[in-house]
Amino acid sequence: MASLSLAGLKKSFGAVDVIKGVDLEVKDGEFVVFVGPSGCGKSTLLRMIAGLEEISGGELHIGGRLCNDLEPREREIAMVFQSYALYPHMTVYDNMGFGLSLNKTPKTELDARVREAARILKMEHLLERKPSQLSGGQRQRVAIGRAIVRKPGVFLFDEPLSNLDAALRVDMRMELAKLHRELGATMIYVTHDQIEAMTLADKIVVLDGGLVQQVGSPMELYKNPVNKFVAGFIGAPKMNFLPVKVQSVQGDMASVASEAMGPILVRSRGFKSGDSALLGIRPQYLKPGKAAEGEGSIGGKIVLVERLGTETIIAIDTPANERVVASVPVDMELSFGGTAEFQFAPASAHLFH
Amino acid sequence: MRLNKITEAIPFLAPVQILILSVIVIPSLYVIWLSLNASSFGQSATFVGLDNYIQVLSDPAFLRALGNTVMIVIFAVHLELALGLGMALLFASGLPGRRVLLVAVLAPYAVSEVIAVAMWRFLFDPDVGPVTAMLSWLGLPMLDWSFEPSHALIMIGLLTIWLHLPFTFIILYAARLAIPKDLYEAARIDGATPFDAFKKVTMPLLGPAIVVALLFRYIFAFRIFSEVWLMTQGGPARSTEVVAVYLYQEAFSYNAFGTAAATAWIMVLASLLLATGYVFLLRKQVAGNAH
Repeated sequence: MASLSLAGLKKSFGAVDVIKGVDLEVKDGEFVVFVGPSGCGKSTLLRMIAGLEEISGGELHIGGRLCNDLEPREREIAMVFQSYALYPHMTVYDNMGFGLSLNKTPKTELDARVREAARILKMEHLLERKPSQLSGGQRQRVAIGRAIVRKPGVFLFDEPLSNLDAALRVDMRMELAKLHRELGATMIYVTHDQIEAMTLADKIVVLDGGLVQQVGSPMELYKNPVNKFVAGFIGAPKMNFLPVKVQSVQGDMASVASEAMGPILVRSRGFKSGDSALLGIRPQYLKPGKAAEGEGSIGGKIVLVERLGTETIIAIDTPANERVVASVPVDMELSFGGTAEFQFAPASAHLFH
Repeated sequence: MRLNKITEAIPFLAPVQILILSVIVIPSLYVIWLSLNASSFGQSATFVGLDNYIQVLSDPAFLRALGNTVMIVIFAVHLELALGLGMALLFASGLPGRRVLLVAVLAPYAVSEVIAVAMWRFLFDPDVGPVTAMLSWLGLPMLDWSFEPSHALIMIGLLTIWLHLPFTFIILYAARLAIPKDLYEAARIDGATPFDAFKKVTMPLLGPAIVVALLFRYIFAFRIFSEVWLMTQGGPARSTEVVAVYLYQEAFSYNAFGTAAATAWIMVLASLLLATGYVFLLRKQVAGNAH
């Protein structure tokens, strides 16, 4: 087990800067998830930690050791690939024991460690099979087993569940969470799936354009996103953003209003009177009904109703022609083309530049 | 009803059947018949049983030709495999200017054997050849292929390697490119040095391609004719003959069609034996890596 420290980490491919200076501390035993859209640099960052990509600038410490120029094998890490990357000509047993056989671990210890990992992952019966004889989920288990056997300081996962079907993904997600609890190991996990990020992480790192946008616990990110990108990326359906004008500022509260919405008081950071701003409201915080005194209110024509059973997603177009999505927990009597009105507590709204 | 269908199908299949019968089956059967008879121009064939086979197999010229052929097969095919593998790995490792180099490497395959031999004869000419001149400038002994049989065989071996290297190379290169990059990354993380990765990942996964390349090259090399015929015509004093040249000499220099036919069948049987052995190996390997 090991802690990790990234200081001003940079990566350029020729003239293109992919990672533009990342600072991050990962505590021993922490489950950290890198999340972001395609091309945000999350996989590159993971591969830099693994030693598969050279580091162009900054410092990487694993377990207190400077690792910038160390070979992957010297970094005490193990990695699980999206494609599993199992050796097709070896049995499951040999796949899992490959790393240990390379560093000349005694046979009895190798055997014990492979069998222990197989027991943890409940795949003792698969040890003599070749990867081609396994299902996708089983292959993924072997790939995880191969990582466990090496007892690394840090586990690295590169979108490990993307190749699995939806049902299996949910199962494997739970198993990974359980594995983290059992092993207590430091894990870094890359995904573009924010549900995986929310459910697995102790700490989420949201990346965009090669820069860290925000680091925090899942609920911290959900409740207090620092910018519009994080606010829009975390949470489904996506947060609504409505253009508003700041009318007045008192301390850390601002009074904002738009054509379609009367003035409300929301928390603000660095706005002054007369500024244009975006008011962010999560679809889940919009409640059907008329607004009481001091509450925000949005109404409009219904353009979409999706009944998902546990919730109903309603999209309305406001008179100012803005699309607003609400998620309500009840099956409301609504019909396409009708009108609906929602209210929200100003404390649940966020103001962004 | 079923019979009806077969009789109806026959006219459609007939062209292929006739083609195969006329170009493969009938000539083969004729050669078998010929190999059991003493036959030459101007005399009718007389049945001699297996005498032709016995005569060929006990002919010192045939045994020398067989020895030369085996030497060329062993020397040329394996050296070619090693070179092809080395080049395939070099290309796959991200060599700069790969496209241009690929054309250069594949070019010999587009050169006719006759032209290749003419070129090599000139390059290695003992008196005026540029390669000979360079070898002597470097202080190395020259390749006296027109006089010294062992030198001639080396020259033939090198020429056949040069001509066929593109074939071996392209099979191995394609197979190497088919190995996913992830496996090498996984191996690096597992602690493999580049040599470990070569031994434990590349070689096992290239196995089937290597067997295929070897099988084809053994069979091609066993039939080697034009390189030898155009370079030395089997001389001096039949010392550089190979089996195919021996066959040609028997048939068209000495007009001994019976022994030539027997030689042909000995070649076929030897090739079949090789092929069977390798197909067996290949099956075992494929079954081992069942997908």
